[in-house]
Amino acid sequence: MSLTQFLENPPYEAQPQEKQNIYEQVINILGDTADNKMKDTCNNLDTDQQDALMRYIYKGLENNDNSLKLLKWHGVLSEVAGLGCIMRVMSEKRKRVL
Amino acid sequence: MAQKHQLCSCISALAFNADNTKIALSPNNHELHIYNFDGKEWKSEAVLKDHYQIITGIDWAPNTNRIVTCSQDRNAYVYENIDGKWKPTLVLLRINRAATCVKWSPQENKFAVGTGAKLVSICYFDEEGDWWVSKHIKKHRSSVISVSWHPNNILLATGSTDFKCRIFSAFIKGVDDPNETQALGELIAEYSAGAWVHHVDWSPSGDCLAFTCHNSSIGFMYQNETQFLRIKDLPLVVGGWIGETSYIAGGYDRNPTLFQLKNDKWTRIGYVDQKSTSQTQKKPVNSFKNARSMFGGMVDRGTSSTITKVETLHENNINQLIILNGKFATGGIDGRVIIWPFSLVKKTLNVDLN
Repeated sequence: MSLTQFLENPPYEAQPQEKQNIYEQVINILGDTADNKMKDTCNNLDTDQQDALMRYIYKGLENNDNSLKLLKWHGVLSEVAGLGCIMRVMSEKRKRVL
Repeated sequence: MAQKHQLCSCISALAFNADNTKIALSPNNHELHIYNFDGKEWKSEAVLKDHYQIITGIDWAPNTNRIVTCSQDRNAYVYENIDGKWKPTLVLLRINRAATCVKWSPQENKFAVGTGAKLVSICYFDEEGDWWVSKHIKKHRSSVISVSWHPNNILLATGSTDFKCRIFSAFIKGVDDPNETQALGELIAEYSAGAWVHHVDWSPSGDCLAFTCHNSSIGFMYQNETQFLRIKDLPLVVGGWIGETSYIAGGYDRNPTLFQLKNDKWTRIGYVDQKSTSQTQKKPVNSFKNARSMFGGMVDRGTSSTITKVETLHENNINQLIILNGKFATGGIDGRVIIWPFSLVKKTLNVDLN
């Protein structure tokens, strides 16, 4: 599955095991994407997908998974989606957990 | 041109009188300052020290010329102007937590106080006892931080830190028309937002309820649908309606933002405070280099090389926004009151405000 497909229907309501499974696949894709392709990928996402991607980035940073690459993703996505995207990740930690 | 006025170091509450010649504000302490404003100069008219903790809300009734203030000391006062002096009357709110916000009803015979005690106090004047008494609306799970009256004087919208925006009936027997069927405290509608609901605001006709949330979003609630916009910037904390199709909001971005209803869809138009001559160039973000130079500067010269200059008229968050006649005023926690004429908004954003 491509990144866009993963971000289309984020597993907000799934069981922890399934969430972990999907999370690992997403982090692998994020790690494998070339630096110069990041901006284009982010530009092609809509607001829901951008929010989901930002949640995965923060989850990855929490678990110390490939932080260097994720920090680069964070920089690119922040430029595209703005500080509002980060606000939504931080303030909706009860309802929308990936 | 927007007029900038530095009044104090921080504003916690702000209100204008009916013809915008006077202003009542609290400089983030227990004092209530009333100024005479002739467009250019401010003259202090009164400093009232009835509260003993920070005043969190002030509202000035345009027709009856009464000021109501509420404070963290769990009290509210109603001030009447008798012979040029402001005489306070204590209001029994019967709450055990701070009051957060206060609003006069459209007919100015009642007012609503949002509190940290998970309830809203609806206060009205009891003729027999010659005092202001209150009735409580409960049903909130956490502090109420914003209230707004519908033009029909009965419905009240509340925004709360339990992530919900609610509409209640605030019917008071003896004050309101007895033909109304809803009882006090009856929940009419509820919307679950993702985060704290900072501000609720009925449109002038009462058809639409706008509410802003802490997750950088703004919602417009009609009877049959709710339009929810997620924005790219920092959260909006206050707002005001300009007509039925324009909404101006301000918050942590220090910049008022305009939203308009176009083709039945609410869209964000843009920031009101923009530098007209030079476009602010966005330097490419190279965070590693910036961090290195900052620490390098600290080691070599004992200074940090990154000095950020604030580009907006407000230096800190906007936490008050009041619509006046032909203009609107914003107050911030930088202690500034800035008056923005509608003509400036129309020119900067190239829009029509009906």
